[in-house]
Amino acid sequence: MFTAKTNQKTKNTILAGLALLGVVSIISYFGFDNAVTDVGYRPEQPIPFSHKLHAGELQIKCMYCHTSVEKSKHSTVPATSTCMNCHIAVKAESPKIAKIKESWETGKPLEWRKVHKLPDYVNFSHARHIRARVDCASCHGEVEKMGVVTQMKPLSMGWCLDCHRDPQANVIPAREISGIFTGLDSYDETAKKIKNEAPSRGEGKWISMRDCAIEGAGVYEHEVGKASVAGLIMPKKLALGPENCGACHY
Amino acid sequence: MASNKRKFGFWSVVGLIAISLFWVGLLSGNILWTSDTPPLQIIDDMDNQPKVKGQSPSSFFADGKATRDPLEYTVPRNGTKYNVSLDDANTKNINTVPVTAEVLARGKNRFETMCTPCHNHDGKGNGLVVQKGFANPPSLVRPEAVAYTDGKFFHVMSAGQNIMSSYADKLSELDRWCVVHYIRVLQNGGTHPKVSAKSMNTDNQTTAQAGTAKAASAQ
Repeated sequence: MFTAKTNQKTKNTILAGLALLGVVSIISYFGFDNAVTDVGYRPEQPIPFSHKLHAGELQIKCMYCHTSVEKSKHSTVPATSTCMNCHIAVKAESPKIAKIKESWETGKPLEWRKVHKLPDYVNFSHARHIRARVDCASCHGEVEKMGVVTQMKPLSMGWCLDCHRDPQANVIPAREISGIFTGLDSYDETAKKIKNEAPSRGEGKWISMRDCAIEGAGVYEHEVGKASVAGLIMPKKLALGPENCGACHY
Repeated sequence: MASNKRKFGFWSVVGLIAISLFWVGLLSGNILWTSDTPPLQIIDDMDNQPKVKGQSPSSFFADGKATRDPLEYTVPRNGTKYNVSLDDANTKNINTVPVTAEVLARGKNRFETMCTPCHNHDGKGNGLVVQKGFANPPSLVRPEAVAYTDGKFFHVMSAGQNIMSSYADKLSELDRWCVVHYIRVLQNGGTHPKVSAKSMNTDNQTTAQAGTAKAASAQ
C-alpha cells in the first residue's frame, strides 16, 4: 500500500520519537531530583564570611553563634552583636567588617541569604535533632571546611528517611566542633553508641505506612534523659526517627 | 538510506564519552557545579507559603523585619532580665544550682563552646581568638579569681566586663551557673571543691565525682 520510502520514514519518525521520549524521561526522572537541582546551591552572601576560618581554623564551635539550635526549631543566624563580640577588636578596621559595624550601629539587619531551605509544609525542629546528638554535618556537610556555605545534601524526604530508618549507617554523631551537649558521655563515647547501639529496624527493609498505622511502628516516644536539675537541657536517649506522617509534616 | 551510511566519527565518540561521564557523575551524587541561583522549582507544591517565618524579611513592617524586637523591659518567660549592679553582684547573685554530674558536664560543654575562644580550655587565656588580635583575658585560675564569689562570675557572664560583652543572650541563667561550677573545677585542678565537702549528701557526691573525673579525663 505504502511505498518502501514512506515505510522507512514512518519507522524513522517512530524511532526518533521513542528516543526523544527516553531522553526526556531520563532527564525529568533524574535531572529534577533534589540531589541535582538543590545540591550545589551556593549563594553569595552580603559579607564574605568564611566558616573555614572561624570554625575550621579558630575552632569556634557552631553553637557559639547558632545558639538557638538546641532550644528552638530554627537554627538562627546570629545577631550582629555576636560578630561584634570579637570584631570590636579583631580586624575592626577591615573594610569587610564595615558592613557589620554599620548594621550594629544602625540596627538594620544584614540580609543573609538562606542556603538550606525545606519546604514550608515540613515541621522540622533543629532542637529535636541536636538533642538526639545528630551532628550538624549530617545535613549541612562539613561546614567548617567551606569558604562559602554550599548545600551538600538533597534535603528531600527520601533522604530524611534514610537516617530515620537506619541511623547507624547514615547519622554523623555529634562532633566536638559543633558544641552539641552529649550529656555525661564524651564525644567518642557518643559516636560509639550511635554507631553501635542505636536501634536499627529492618536493615533497610521498607515498612509500609499500613504497618506503622496498625502497630504504631512509626511512632516513637523518645525518652529524654532525666536531669538532676530542673530545666537542664539533656540529650535524648537513642532511638529511631519517627516515620509517621504527622511527625514531620504540618 | 542516507542515515545507514553515516559512520561514527571522532567527535561523536568524544561526545558520547562526555555525555556518559556527565550522567555517571550526576547519578553518583557528585556536585558537578555550584550555582548562585536558587534551586529550580517546576511545580511549587506549597513549598513557599505566605507566612511569617523566623528571621525572614517582611514587607509589612517599616524596618523590614518579620521577627519583631521585644519591647523594652521585656523579660523572658522562664527567667529574669539581669539587672544587678557590680556592687550587689556578690550578695544578690546566689548560686542555688546543686553540683551534680550533669551540671558539671553541661558547664564543661558551655565553657568549651562559649568561653574557650578567648579563655582557652584551661581558663588561663590566650585562646585562638586572642592569637588573632583580641585582648587577652586575665586567667580564670589565678588566686584572685579563685577568691571571687560565684555571684561575681555570674555577673561578668551576664553583664560583661571591660571588652567582654554580655553572654546573657547565649547562656541561660542555669547554664551560667553551670559554667560557674565548671570554672571552680578548673580552678581546683579537675574536681569541684564542694564535692568533697560534708554538706553534700553521699548520693550527689558520688555522681559529682564521677562527673568531674569524666570532665577531667575528656580534656
